[in-house]
Amino acid sequence: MIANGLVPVEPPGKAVFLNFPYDQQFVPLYLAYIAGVCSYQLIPRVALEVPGGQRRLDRIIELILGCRYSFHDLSRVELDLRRPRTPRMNMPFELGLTVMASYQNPKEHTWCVFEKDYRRVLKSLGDLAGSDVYSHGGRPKGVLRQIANALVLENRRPEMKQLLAVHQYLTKLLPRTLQARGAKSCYEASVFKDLVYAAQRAVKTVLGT
Amino acid sequence: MRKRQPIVIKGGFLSDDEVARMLGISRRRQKELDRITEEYFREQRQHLSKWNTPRKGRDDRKRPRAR
Repeated sequence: MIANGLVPVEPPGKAVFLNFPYDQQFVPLYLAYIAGVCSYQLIPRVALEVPGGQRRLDRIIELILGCRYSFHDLSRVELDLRRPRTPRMNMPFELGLTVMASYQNPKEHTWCVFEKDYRRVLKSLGDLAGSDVYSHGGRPKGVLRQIANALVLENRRPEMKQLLAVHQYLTKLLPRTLQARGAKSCYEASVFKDLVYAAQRAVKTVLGT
Repeated sequence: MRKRQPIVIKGGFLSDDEVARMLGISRRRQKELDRITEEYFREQRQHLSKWNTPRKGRDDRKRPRAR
């Protein structure tokens, strides 16, 4: 699948669509999602990889449909501080798209919702009552712990200290990557791709595989 | 809340080349990231082995003595 200039999503069984906010406060959790997902032999994909333009929505849908799993972090669904102050609806919107896609093909897509506190979801998105919500407490270690709860590997179980070692490495690597890419934000596609590649490389080193 | 059923991931890791191709990372950048990663974890191992060495085996003389 390379239509619309997207990087092909293959093999689909290994791709996870990550849906989270792109803000400075979220950076430690952003790195934790990359470290956690890569530790479970999966490759994270994000809407950041999709260039802007008229057909951005089509491409996001295409990316979601190309992923076997998706993780949606709703912990920062709140009013944006910049004027005009509006609620941040991208995350619930992309979750809605995913839920619809998974209803059409239940065997081809599995989604998980992550929140700081699961009670927040019950209030902000009551339609999800009865669904799994993983509470991470707003901390990187919480994200790693909940990814370990959501995923199980057939042949081994990564230890928390290994997951933390990968996260620590990404934290160290980030300034260097920003400099190498001449990027102002870690939420640029090139930086994200570098971090994902480095994370899966680090996981193999840490696990000795 | 219903009981959670974890997702079982089958199969092994994708090779580095497969991941690089999937992400659209150039061969040159891939090599650079490989080198940085190796270097970091080699330093980590050295750091850990230094502090895991029994006190008797350490060469403490290299440190300046307190006067």
